[in-house]
Amino acid sequence: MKTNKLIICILTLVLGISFNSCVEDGDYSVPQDLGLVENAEVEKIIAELNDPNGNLDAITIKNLKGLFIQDKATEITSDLVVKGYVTSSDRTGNFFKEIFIQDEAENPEAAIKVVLNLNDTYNKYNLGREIYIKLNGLFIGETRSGDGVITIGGVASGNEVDDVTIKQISENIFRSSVTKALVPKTVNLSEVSSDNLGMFIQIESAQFQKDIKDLTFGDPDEQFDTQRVLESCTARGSSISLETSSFSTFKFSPLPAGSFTINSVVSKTFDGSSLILVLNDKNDITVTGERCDPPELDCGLANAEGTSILFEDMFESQSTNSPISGNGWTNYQEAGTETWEAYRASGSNASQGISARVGAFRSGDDRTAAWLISPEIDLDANSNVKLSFETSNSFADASNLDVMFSNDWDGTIDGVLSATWGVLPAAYIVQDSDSFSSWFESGIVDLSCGSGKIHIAFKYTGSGDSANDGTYELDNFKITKD
Amino acid sequence: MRKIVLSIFVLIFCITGFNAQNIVKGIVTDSDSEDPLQGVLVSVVNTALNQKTGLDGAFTIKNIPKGNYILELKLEGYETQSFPVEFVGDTIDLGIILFYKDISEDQDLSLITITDDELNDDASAADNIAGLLQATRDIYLRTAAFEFSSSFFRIKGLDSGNGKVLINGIEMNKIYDGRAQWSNWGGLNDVLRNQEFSNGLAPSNFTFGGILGSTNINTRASEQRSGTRISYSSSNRSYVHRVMATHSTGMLDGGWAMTFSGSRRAGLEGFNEGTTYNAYSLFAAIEKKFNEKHSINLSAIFTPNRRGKSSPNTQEVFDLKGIAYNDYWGYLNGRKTNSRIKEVVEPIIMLNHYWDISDNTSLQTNVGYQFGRIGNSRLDFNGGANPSPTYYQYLPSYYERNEDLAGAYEARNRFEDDGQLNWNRIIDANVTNAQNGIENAYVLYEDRNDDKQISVNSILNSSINDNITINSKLEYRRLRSENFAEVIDLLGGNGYLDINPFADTENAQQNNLLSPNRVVQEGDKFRYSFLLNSDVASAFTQAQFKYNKVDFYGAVNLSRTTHQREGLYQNGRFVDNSLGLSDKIDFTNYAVKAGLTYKITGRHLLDLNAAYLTQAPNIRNSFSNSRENNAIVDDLKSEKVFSTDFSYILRSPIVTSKLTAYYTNVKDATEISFYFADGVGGDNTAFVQEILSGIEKQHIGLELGIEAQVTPTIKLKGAASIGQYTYANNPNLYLTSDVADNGGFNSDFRSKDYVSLLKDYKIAAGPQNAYSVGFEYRDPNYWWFGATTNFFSKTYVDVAPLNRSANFYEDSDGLPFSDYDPELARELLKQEKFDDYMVVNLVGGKSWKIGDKFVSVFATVNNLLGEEYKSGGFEQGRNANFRQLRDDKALDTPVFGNKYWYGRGTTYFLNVNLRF
Repeated sequence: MKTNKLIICILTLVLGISFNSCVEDGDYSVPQDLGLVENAEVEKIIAELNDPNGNLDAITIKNLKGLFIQDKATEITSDLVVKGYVTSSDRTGNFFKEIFIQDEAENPEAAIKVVLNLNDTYNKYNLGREIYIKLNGLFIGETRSGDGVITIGGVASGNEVDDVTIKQISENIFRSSVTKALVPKTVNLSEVSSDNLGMFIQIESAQFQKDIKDLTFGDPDEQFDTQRVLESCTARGSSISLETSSFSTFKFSPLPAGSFTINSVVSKTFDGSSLILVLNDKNDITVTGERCDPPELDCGLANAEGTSILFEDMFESQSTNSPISGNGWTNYQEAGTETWEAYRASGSNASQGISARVGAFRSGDDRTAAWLISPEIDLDANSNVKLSFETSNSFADASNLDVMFSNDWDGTIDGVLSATWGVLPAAYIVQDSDSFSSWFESGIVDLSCGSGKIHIAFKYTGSGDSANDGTYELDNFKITKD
Repeated sequence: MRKIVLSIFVLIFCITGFNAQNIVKGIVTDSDSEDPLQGVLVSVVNTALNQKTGLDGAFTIKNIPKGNYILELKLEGYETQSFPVEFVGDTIDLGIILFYKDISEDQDLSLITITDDELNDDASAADNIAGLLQATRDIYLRTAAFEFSSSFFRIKGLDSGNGKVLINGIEMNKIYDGRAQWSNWGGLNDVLRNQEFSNGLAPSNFTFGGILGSTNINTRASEQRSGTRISYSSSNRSYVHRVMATHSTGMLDGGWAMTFSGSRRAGLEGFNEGTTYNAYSLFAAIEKKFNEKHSINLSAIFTPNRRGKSSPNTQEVFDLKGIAYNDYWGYLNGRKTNSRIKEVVEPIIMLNHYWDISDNTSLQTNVGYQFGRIGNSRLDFNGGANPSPTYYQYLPSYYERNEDLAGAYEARNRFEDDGQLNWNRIIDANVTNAQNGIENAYVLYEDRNDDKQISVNSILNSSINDNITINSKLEYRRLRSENFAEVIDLLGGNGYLDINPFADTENAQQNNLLSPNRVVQEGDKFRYSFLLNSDVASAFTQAQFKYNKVDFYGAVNLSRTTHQREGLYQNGRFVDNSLGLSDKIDFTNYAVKAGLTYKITGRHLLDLNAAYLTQAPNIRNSFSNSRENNAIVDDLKSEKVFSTDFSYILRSPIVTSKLTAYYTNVKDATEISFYFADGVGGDNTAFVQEILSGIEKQHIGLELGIEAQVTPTIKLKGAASIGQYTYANNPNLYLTSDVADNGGFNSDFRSKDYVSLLKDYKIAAGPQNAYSVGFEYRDPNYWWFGATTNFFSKTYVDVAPLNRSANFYEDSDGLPFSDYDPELARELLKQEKFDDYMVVNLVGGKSWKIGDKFVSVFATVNNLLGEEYKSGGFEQGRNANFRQLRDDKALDTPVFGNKYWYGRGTTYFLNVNLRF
């Protein structure tokens, strides 16, 4: 019996051990201490920053960007800490292994890019998240030398910076528990500048250019990025590209119809040549109304000029290097220091006798807008009115020349901007891709389907910025009728 | 006890009668109770003469030819007794024979027990033959089961689906993939002991069987040994603890018999890190015997079990983390938490009617119903980075490939120091998203198969006379299988968006256009949902003939199989053929086999078998992409199998041995695999389904088992398998994907037709050569000890068929790559052969009788020397063409190198058993 009892005792013990050896293989509850370690680290950083004797010093994004040396990856060797709020999100695939941070969630003064070896940054460094970066050991430079986008990186690769490594991410970049609602900074489309790089901005009253309005965000044939040009409803002729990655989830979504308000991050094209807007999410475009396309006068092109001339100017009566004047022309300087002038040139970029030209080259202007408006043409009193002219350019770049018409302009300079100006789609204007040495005919633009008394205007827009400071030339302006 | 045997000896020679006829008789009784024992099998060795004792324990065998014989008396649970007898024309009365309970008999049970933890291992194709072979007495097969199985050795190099497992006459091999799901009855070893195994083509009374044979497990309550048995086991292989208790009543008054069994297996970690084990098993069988002719048995089996899986890894990973490394787990709340858990909950209920129509004819009618679920959990991450710590971009080789040595160093340190799943980051991502009103980055879900299967059959066994037995069976099986993915846990998030973000358009991203952009919660189905319906009707008949010199048999099986898929989701990539019913596929199949055993003498036998079968493809190989659409494999055919074997069997008093030569040829096999391929149709990447069809395989080899009882206590054992398993032709290959009109895929998402030059490549079927030598010492004082040394060679990696097709060298224009180098290609495509290895196993045990109770202890040590060896592996599909493979193999450490399973290091198993 003793052995029986012993056996029973052993069995009880064994059974007890076995049935109580709980295997909690289905418990995935959220750890109570999630994020506590990281928060403690942030609090330590803040305490040190607030302590005058602490080892760490704060630096603003603006001052940090000041440490950048052209064409160099500069290692930061002092115990600096920069604070920022995340403005970009790779949730829809439009950013890749990079985040932008700006110094304030509202009214930012400066923003900077951080490149890091991390996919799906959005679920860690979410929009508006307050982050602290310990900079000692990290680098400041560009990921592509000369692209003009100052970036925090983890290692130097020649004169460029490369990703903050996985280890550096855990040791240098800390999230506080604060996420602020980003208030996009309102910027006019025409005023987007490199100061806005990395910022979350809002542009009101914009639309996609008419010729692309039915396309999708991404071009199926494009391997990396697609640019779709946005134009302003308020500042005619101003434009900026929206760039969408071929890896974005909405690349095949149609562009929004109508005019809209867009919240996006300012960035640059891969080669750094121009500023672009990048969406965090396609829902950051809010359609506010119909498209704001100007009225059109489009009767196509005619086969031959009219039998008699209604108005004609070869600018031969103008005096060179002076503003165009007389002969019924109105020369209006909307913005900047430049205006339409008469000039004569020979050689490879010759004028046609005396011609008219305008350009913002070396103007130093933030924005240049110059109008040259023809005398009145009465379409009711004359039949089969036709227009022709010739244009040429010199390094037009992103500057722009538009030919427009109005039938409600009162003829005064003060009234130019309040008048309604429509476009003449049939008229050809020299393109940036055309040769600078040639003159291009507009074609014989048929105006017969229009009515009332109209004026024809040539409007130049550009700026002193080298990407925007092209020159346009105009000559052989002719109105005929039958 | 030995003395008593001796005294009986003396008795035999004292009793001499005057009858001219040779007769032997006696009465068998239990040594303890002195009650007569019924059902003791008494046989004259090397003759066809045998008899079972009746209710009174008596037997009488007549008509014995003159000569010297050994009379053998056997009853399960008792020690077998043998008497040398000499017949010279008289009656030998053995009188009362005392039968002793066999307390060392638990050895066998223990052997069976250890295979239990190998059986539902998820490593490799998890194709383990041990279960099938548990009941065999054949030395070669026992060696294969107990010594070779942990090396993923396969009998004749064949898939385990070629062996049929039946419980009470009902086939348990899954209709989906043809394999038995051993975890459905795991942990119930005590009550599954009554097994009848038919090796290879040998006839079974219950089924036509597969070419590897069949096992019928009998759970009839009346045939369970009465009494109580309790055991405890401990191991470091898969489970850590196991307790099991079983009680059988035996036949009670009123014709009732009952058996109950339950067990618990648990462990936080087996040999591989993070492999949790969490299993309960319950069994009940109740039998009512109405009269001598009719009896009904009800069996119920319920074995819910959950096991943490472990990953195959590249050599780079093994080199850094060791062979126990598993990338599926990480610490969560301080606990090792595995993301990939296989849960099997598939209760079985069976009702069996036994009708002894006459002394010679019985009819068994069986109805079985199995239902429940199988779930395989994993992480999905359509809004987060790949969480796997061994994702190629996180490993040093990736940085080395990019010539970033500092990065490689950092990656190496990171992987060595941590290298596990980061649950906190996963949950933090979801919590961060939830706080910002965004759907989950990650989700834990499971792929589910919820099967409901009904099986009905009747089995007729009839002995026409002493020499002829007829077996017949009619069977109908019906499967209704629901397949879907279901969210297990949102891991701190607020919902998971059910889309495939890799598709181009918003419509194409939808997994179900019927409810687009759905945000799913815990318990919701998502990703895919479809039904598979299968119906199999079959008829089997067999005749067995037994004569003095020769035994022979012939069998025929006819079957009709239909498969159909029904999509419940309209997939955005397959708008037109994902929802609703697919075409119905049906097959009519037949199988024939025959064999004979020729007894040259009682000691020398020859055995010859041959079979030809056509087999309907299983569901798994019928639908090319069943999760997403209704597409049926092009030109789908039944497999044709021809198999034959020839054996020489030696049964001398000291040496028993069997030598077998076999040949199996399989034609028109179909195999579907899924992988992410880099380099399809030129320079494209895609997730593809690879359909390989018209495959011909050849399995040829020799098997040897030999056993010598050199002294009464020492037995020497040896076994060898020398095989060659190869592809015998160049099968057809095509790919499908969810990409249309791009990257080599046409508007039907299908690639062009390729031929895969697989002929003469080796089939990855574990070691093709295996040898075992060992001994067993059995002390008269009920302890025993054994050791074996096992050698394995010719283990090959599973080759990637696409790389052996024209896709390997063709650029997108269909012309060979300009830099294609056939010499180098031959080098690159050479099949990897793993190193040979040797594994030493020890086993030992002891039994006691304490009062009226029996206690036994049993222990094994496997791989005593801790040999590290690859037991299997496969080529990753990622390097799908010449350029990719060349560039990857040129690296010091390939980024997409072959993935391997390693065998376990040194492990132990300990078992304590109490019986009363």
